[in-house]
Amino acid sequence: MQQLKHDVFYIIYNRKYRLLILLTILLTAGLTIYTAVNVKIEEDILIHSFENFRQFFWLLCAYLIADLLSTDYHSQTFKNIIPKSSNRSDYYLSKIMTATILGVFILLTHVITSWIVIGSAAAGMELNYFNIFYLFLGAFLSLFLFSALLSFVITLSGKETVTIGTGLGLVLLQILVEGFDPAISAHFPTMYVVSLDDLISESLLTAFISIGSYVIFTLLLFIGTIKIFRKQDLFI
Amino acid sequence: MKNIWTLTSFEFKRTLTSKMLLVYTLIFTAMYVLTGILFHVYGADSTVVAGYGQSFPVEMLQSSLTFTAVFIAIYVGEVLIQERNNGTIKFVLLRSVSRFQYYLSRILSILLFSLLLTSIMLFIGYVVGISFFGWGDTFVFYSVVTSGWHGVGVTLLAGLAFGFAYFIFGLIALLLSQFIQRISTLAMLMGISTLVGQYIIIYDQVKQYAIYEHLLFFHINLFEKSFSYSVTSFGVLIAYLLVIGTAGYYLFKKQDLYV
Repeated sequence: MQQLKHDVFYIIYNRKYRLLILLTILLTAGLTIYTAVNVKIEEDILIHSFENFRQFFWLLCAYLIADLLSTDYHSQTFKNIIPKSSNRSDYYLSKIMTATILGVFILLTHVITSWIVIGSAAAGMELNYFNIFYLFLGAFLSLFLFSALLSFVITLSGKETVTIGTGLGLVLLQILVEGFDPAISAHFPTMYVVSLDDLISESLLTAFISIGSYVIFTLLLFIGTIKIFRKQDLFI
Repeated sequence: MKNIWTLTSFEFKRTLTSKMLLVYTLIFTAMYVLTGILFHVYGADSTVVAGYGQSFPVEMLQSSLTFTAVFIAIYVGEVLIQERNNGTIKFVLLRSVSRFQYYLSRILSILLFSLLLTSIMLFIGYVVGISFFGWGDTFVFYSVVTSGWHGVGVTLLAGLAFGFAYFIFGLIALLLSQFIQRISTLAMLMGISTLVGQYIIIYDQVKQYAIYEHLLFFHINLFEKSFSYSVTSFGVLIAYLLVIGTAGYYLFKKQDLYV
């Protein structure tokens, strides 16, 4: 709880994260206007706008997760933090939760900004959009998995550069191949925000297996991280 | 001169044994193997490659735009931000090394790293390309259709042009790194800039002067556009080198580095 409070305050008081939100607002506004000018079906402006924003969203999320996880590795402040926690697993649990919530907040910022931009430009028009519940559920599941994965990477490597390289590299790799087979790419973390709704409506069993796999992999990665982290000498 | 060489060669040797280079190699290998698999499963139209092992490496260069940009930015962060944050930069500067020599050694390190990264990409390209498609009868790269050693020559020349464009991008990252405290922030900003940059180059009037055009097309335009167009593009990159390199040095000279 104390660690979670610390991480939340770190995000609130750090100027970098406020700039990240500002960057999200500016990118969303720019992309929404760009989409509105170029789109063929006007009712789908917001959907296309999110499609354009999605790769930026994941790059921002990969950055914020890697940044949040590597803060103490970067400034070598573990010795000041670990003695205050009752056990070491609290440390990563808090980091993963904070990173996920911040990622979801970025998504929320995008949704609100794009609605405001389009609302002021095309008032009265009926617009299509994703199912908001599944959009955010998809974001929660995929961000949890990605945060747990990067926690595992940083615990193994102990390096900020390896973590950010792996994070951004994996995001770009998924973006590159996600267009080839929709049946496979629907399960990618970068696609989950938009594909979860379709997965559930098409086949409940497939969706159940997919969500179950996300939860299991997240737990396994988290347990793996904690196992390694508990044995590490962090008193540098 | 000896100082510059010592600093540059030390940095290069450190890079060769770093975990980061292993991560880059693994990610590029995964990307190339996936492209090979997709070609076989979904057919020639699904990928950017024509299905000849000898032209696979050069065809794959363009698709790694954001990957390479992010990796270059991380490297730039490692050679300048990390030394500044750890306070180890003062150990170098307190010896008989001037700031000019230090900054020049960083520029040369970025050049070597860009060429190293390009060489790794070409090498993986040949290994994966030959494994998936065999050497093939023909080398196809846009309008260039040839075979054998001429194809290898085209690949190496395109690789050199590709590496040079990314070296200039690295210089921009080096300039920006003087205002940024974290490597991850620099990597994210440079990565996002390549995505935003793709919207800038849709405007014909400015695209030849934008670095993003050269990251994507300099190694292709060398064979596709007229000689004068390529000379102008090269001139633009040299202008970037001089302006960004000089501005970066003057900023570095005035920084308080005695952390």
